[in-house]
Amino acid sequence: MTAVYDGDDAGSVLEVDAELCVGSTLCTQLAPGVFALGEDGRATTVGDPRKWPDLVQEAEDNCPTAAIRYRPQSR
Amino acid sequence: MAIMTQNSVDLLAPSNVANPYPAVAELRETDPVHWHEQWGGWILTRYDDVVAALRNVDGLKSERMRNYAASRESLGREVSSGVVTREILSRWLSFSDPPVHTRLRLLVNKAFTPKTIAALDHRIAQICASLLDDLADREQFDLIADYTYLLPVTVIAEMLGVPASDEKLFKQWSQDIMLVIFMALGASDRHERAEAGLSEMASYLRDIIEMRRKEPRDDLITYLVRAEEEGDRLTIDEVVATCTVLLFGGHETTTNLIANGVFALLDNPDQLSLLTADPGLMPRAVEEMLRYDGPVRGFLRWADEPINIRDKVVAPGDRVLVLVDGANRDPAVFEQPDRLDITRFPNRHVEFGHGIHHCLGAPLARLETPIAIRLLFDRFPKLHRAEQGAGDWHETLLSRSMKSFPVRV
Repeated sequence: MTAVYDGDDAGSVLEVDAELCVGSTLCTQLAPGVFALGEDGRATTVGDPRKWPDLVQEAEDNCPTAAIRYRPQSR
Repeated sequence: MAIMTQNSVDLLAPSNVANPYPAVAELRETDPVHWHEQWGGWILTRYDDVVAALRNVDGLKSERMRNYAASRESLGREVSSGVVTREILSRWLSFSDPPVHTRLRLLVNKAFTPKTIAALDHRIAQICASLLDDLADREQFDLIADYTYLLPVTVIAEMLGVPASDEKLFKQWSQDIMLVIFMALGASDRHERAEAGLSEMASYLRDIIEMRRKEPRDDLITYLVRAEEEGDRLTIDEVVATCTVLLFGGHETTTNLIANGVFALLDNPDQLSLLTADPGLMPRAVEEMLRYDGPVRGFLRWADEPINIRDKVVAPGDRVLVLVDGANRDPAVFEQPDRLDITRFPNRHVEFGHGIHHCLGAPLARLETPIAIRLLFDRFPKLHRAEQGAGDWHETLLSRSMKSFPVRV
């Protein structure tokens, strides 16, 4: 699992499950400020989801293997 | 047994149609980047090369029609596909490259995500139950014609908004279209038949598209028509082409996934017993069916630039057969790859592809298959094959599909 931005005051969690990711690039198209394709062809997080929460939600909704988990507030 | 003549495997020899895996294994072991002289292209069979090829969107293109024509001409061979075939297939998602592919995929993607598809589970179970009810008095039936064909075609027809009662029409068209899509190289009239099938399917869909313009409904065709009317999102030809790929792709493969999966379970009764004893194994079992004998054997790509793969150089314009059924049994990745193991985990098969063209319908297939198989064996716990032997397989290069699958209850 790749975790980013968890545990801060706003409690936002964004994870991409590398086992499920198939490199469809839907997330990198929809939220390029947040997702990018890593060397292994799988998505990785490169930016703060709090800047583009709607786009990150779109990315989560569109992932063909449900590899993205986004919780704008963890509690 | 592989038949090698002059360094070329006879891909459609009867023994390779009955069971392609030994020939594929021989290629994977001895010539993983294989130039097939007779067919006129490269064949990749190793997992790493297959995944790398599918990721290499810049170097290996999916646009099939223009590239097919160009590669035929460069090999001095006839271009046989018809005008309608080229018009429609050139707009299929699966045969498009960025940026066209990107635009079309983003447009339809959300209709098929796990979250959206999950809402169909009751309807799928209802359709299965109804199909099984229709078989209540039968001692023998064709698992494909009487079950695994009817379920996915009904589901996709309802999603699209076409009458499921026209399923016989869809079946005829799909049988014709698939001869070209899945490369039934032995069928000499395949281009004519595909041309007829695609023309009729397109004409049928155009009629419905016009009806939806006047009277919109809550279905995918209306959604696409609206997107076209909004301007700049897709053309009417793309609406028609997208409907045909969803109609064809939306059932042809799932039909075979379920049928091949049942075939594999019946052939491996110890695995079937495991599954019956622990229904919680079903998700892993479905992934193993996808890996072990999935409905798609491979994908075609065209090189757009010179590509070094191992010790070979693929030249621009060369076509490449990315054989996922080689990758899915690569011993470098899968232990005892020729064994059906429904508990296998992890199971990183590439049956749905990888990268930008990863199967749009994967979540739908992953929902339909467990329901279809569970309800089938609940209703017919003693289900078994009516005939012995290797099975009645279509002679196609790119699909693993049976013509019929007689079973007894």
